Amino acid sequence: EEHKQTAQRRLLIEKKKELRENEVARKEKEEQRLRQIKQQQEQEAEKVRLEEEAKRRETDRLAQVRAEVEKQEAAKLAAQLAGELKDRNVKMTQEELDSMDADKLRALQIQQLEKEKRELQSKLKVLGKRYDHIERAFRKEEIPLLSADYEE
Amino acid sequence: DMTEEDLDFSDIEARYAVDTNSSYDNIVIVDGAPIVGEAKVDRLLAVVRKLFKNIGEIPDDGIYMPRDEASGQSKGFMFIEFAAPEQAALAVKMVNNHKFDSKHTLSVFKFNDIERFANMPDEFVEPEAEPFVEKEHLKSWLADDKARDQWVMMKGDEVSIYWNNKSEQPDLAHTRTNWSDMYVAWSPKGTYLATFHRQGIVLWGGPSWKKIVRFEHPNVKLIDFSSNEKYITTWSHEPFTTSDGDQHRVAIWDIVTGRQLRSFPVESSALGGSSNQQSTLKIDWPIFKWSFDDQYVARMTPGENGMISVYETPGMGLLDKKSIKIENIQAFAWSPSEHVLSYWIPEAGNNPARVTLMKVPSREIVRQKNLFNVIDCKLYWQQQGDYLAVQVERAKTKKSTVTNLELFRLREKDIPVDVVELAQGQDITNLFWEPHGTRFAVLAQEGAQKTVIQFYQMVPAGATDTKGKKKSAKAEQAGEVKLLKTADAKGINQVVWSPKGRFCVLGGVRGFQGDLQFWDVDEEPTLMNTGEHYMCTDVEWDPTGRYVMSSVSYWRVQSDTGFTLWTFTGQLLSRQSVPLFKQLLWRPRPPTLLSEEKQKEVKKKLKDYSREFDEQDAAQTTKVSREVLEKRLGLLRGWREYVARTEDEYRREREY
Amino acid sequence: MRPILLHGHIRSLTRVKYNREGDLIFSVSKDNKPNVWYSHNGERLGSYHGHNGTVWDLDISFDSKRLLTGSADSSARLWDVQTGKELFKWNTNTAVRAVAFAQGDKKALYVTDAVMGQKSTIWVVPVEDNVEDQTDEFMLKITIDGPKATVAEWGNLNKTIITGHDDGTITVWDAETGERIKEHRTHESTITDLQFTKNRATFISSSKDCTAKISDAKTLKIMKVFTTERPVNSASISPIKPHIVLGGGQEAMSVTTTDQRHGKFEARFYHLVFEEEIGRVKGHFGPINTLAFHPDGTGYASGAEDGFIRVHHFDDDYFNFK
Repeated sequence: EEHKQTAQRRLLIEKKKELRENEVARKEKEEQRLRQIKQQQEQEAEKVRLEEEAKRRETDRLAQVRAEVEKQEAAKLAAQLAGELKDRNVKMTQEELDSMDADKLRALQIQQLEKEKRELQSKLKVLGKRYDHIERAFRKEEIPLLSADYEE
Repeated sequence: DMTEEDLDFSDIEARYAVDTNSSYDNIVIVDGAPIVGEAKVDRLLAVVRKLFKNIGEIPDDGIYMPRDEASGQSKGFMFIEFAAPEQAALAVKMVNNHKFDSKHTLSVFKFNDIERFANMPDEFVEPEAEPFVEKEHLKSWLADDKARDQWVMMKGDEVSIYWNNKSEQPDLAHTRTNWSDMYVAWSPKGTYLATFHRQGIVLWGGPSWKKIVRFEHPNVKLIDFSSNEKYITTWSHEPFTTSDGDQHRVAIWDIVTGRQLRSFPVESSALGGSSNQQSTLKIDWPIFKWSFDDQYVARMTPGENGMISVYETPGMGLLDKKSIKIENIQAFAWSPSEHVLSYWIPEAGNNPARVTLMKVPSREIVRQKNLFNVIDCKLYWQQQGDYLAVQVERAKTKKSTVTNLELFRLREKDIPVDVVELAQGQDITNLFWEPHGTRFAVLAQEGAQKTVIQFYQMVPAGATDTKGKKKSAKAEQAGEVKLLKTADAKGINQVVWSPKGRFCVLGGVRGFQGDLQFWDVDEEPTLMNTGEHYMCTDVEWDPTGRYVMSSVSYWRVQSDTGFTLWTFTGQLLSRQSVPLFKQLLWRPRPPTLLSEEKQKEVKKKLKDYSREFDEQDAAQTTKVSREVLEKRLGLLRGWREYVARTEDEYRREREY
Repeated sequence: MRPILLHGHIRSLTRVKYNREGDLIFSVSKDNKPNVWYSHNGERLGSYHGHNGTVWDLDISFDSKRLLTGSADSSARLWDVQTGKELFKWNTNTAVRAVAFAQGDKKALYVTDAVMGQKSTIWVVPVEDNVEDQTDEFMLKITIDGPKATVAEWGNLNKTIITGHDDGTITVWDAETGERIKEHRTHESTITDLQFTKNRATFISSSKDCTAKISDAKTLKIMKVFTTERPVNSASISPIKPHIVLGGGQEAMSVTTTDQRHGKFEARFYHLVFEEEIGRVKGHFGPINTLAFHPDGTGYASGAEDGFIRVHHFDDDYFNFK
């Protein structure tokens, strides 16, 4: 009976032990799984981060390129405007022109065009008057000749 | 008001109301023969007999030549009796206007037309003495003390002549309702205004716009004045019947005497344009082209038996009695300054196409140029006749064509020809010479979309360049055609030069939108201004080159008709909306009577004149603004009184 | 001067009108739905449902409580402005061309078209304060011999009725007896609009004859003439300045696409006294059919063939302009 009891206890202990071991193993396994998930997540996050980093760098690069192009174009435009302004006999030194950006030059150009337009219109006014006065002067001098012509 | 009913054509009608049953059908009267003494009578009669030998049979006593009883001298006319009336008719046809000798041109009439002699003494009195005695001064308008010009305007049934007052309202000089049945036209120097009527053309002029002369031509549709206003050509689509019973379409008249010089049948086949349908008769008017000095008038007969027929005024006899045979002649034009004809013929067999310059009356060919693969040529003479531009369209491949210009320099030895090729893909659509100048404008098409304007200058051989330096030896020899400028001409289809040169207006008219560009074509052509006259149909310069008129004619566009006046620099002076506006023509002016020296002198002293004109203008401006102000104040006062009165009434009514 | 665009109509406008205070704009069009809008921001307050044909004309009572409309559906209708409810309907034999409240809103008139043997007729009807009492009996009927009336208004103190006709004639009728008091051939063609000054001593009429004219309401004497190149569909007098505005254009049929570029659909301002043009306002895509000055003169509204109403508030520039 005692033996039986002892055997039973041992069995029980072993069973418990086994259960405990099983439990530990399960826990370990679970922990490992969680660890794995976490690791995977971390890996993915890293991957995303890297991708984003690459993207950001690419955008930065493009922006830089664009800025460079814009700068070049602005310089080109400035040079062109400056050239045009020079052609239009604007009294400015090359240094002065070089120091201006495209916006300033454009404003200057508009100003210059308006000035030219004004100048042209006042020139035309003088021209119009001159032609009118020549005609009137001719006609005035012609009147006596006309009556003489009629007499004939 | 004058209507066509008021125009009395009864005497003209009476002139042709001939008794056809008369027994004098076979007798003609020959006038304009030399006046000879007794000794030469037989000789004269013999020559006359010989002249009519091939026309009909004249009995021995068939010629009766009246003579002055006292002197025994002939009177310059004679009666000839033929065996048959047909022979008499033929004699009129063949010998009338015959150049008998260098001094005498024969007129041949049927005896039955004797009434014409009785009723028309004008023909036989000294023509020089007649025109000025009673008539008004036909050039009085030239002496306007404000140096203004006139225009004639047609609106609805009303024809009115106005004085241009720049931006102020024009002054009405004269107006009549139903003055013309169709349209109106000025003679080239502005002396006459021509009106169209069912019965014919009437010319008007002088300060009171009296009837000067009329030409009976039923259903007349087109007219053309000779350059010096001596003659006028008239045309009707429907032929009229001559006194001989022939069907004629064209008549040429002497303006001073009102006499018809000659009329022509003009077959439909002989007309320019290749319309086969009778109903849409297309003619290249003028068919008869006047030489610069009114001495000759020439017409062309196309086809295999092609020719140019040159007639000499006033007799209208065929020059040297025969036409100039030019097989397949396509087009011709007179030089505007000398007796030189230009014409071109197409390729035939192995012979290339050819542009020819021929002197008249010698018929000497002064220059000829062969051209290959030619499809079409257009001849454009510069106004002084110094240059002839020929626009040549050639076949490039089977499908595409290419145009270029051949420029003849008439004033240089052997008449050299410059060739101007346009850029690849550019095709000339039209060429416009600068009046009084050596520049021309070319409108060219670049592909289907783009239109460009080009200004060229003729640089004569040995010319100095703009800075006064002599050109290089090579240029001195050759001269050149210099391209002054190329510019975009979107929406443009016309170039209208100032009659004084230098300035021109580029317009998109008749089917285009009405864009206008005002150019100063100096050494450096510049666009002075742009403008717009929506749906514009016509652009016309005043004769002094100071103003430009753009207009929308009811004949082409039925809405927003009217006109806009601009300065030559493109400044808008006034816009007038005129319902049923049809036509506006500036009155041309003859060349100034001032000598070159006098003109130079005036220009030199322009400052003195300017002072005077400035004062005049300032006074006028003050006057006008004062008038405007007074008018406005008056209107304002009137309106205020009216409002006060109605307010008063309103209050009283309320209270009541 | 940036206009407010009112887009609630699907067809061309026939009449726009401000109420007395000017805070509301009423509009009728060739669609069958009159609208009411806030004038200051263009917000639509509502529509009046019931008509089933072009609505030709409208009028608003002095207190802005009632709206009167006349339509091609052979009816004139009275509406409650606020609720949008149809209060009464007068059935007619032909289209109703014009409507107008009398001063005091105790009565109104409507004009029926001449069609197939029916003569153009002016009907004067009572307008009851209490809708329950409203009947369709008429107080006066004036049968018009001659060209039909296209516009109608009450004269000062309701003593007269003034009509504009298809042939350009303007007629003054005795509003009590229906007698024809005076008649004048003011225009050469159809009269398209007739608007009074505040004291009803003077009115402006517009016509297809390309003019607008100001006449004295008593004598019919023409005081001023404003000439254009196009048929004039509407004209209005500023209540505060010596200005008038007019609008028009070609018939819808003959409008070409290119016309718009050329701005023939502008509202044109003229100096009332000098008869000279002083300015133009572009914007519409079709001829302007109707115009009205704000009762304070601070702006104006225009309705056009394009289905739009444009409400303009003048800038300071306008008020400084002499």
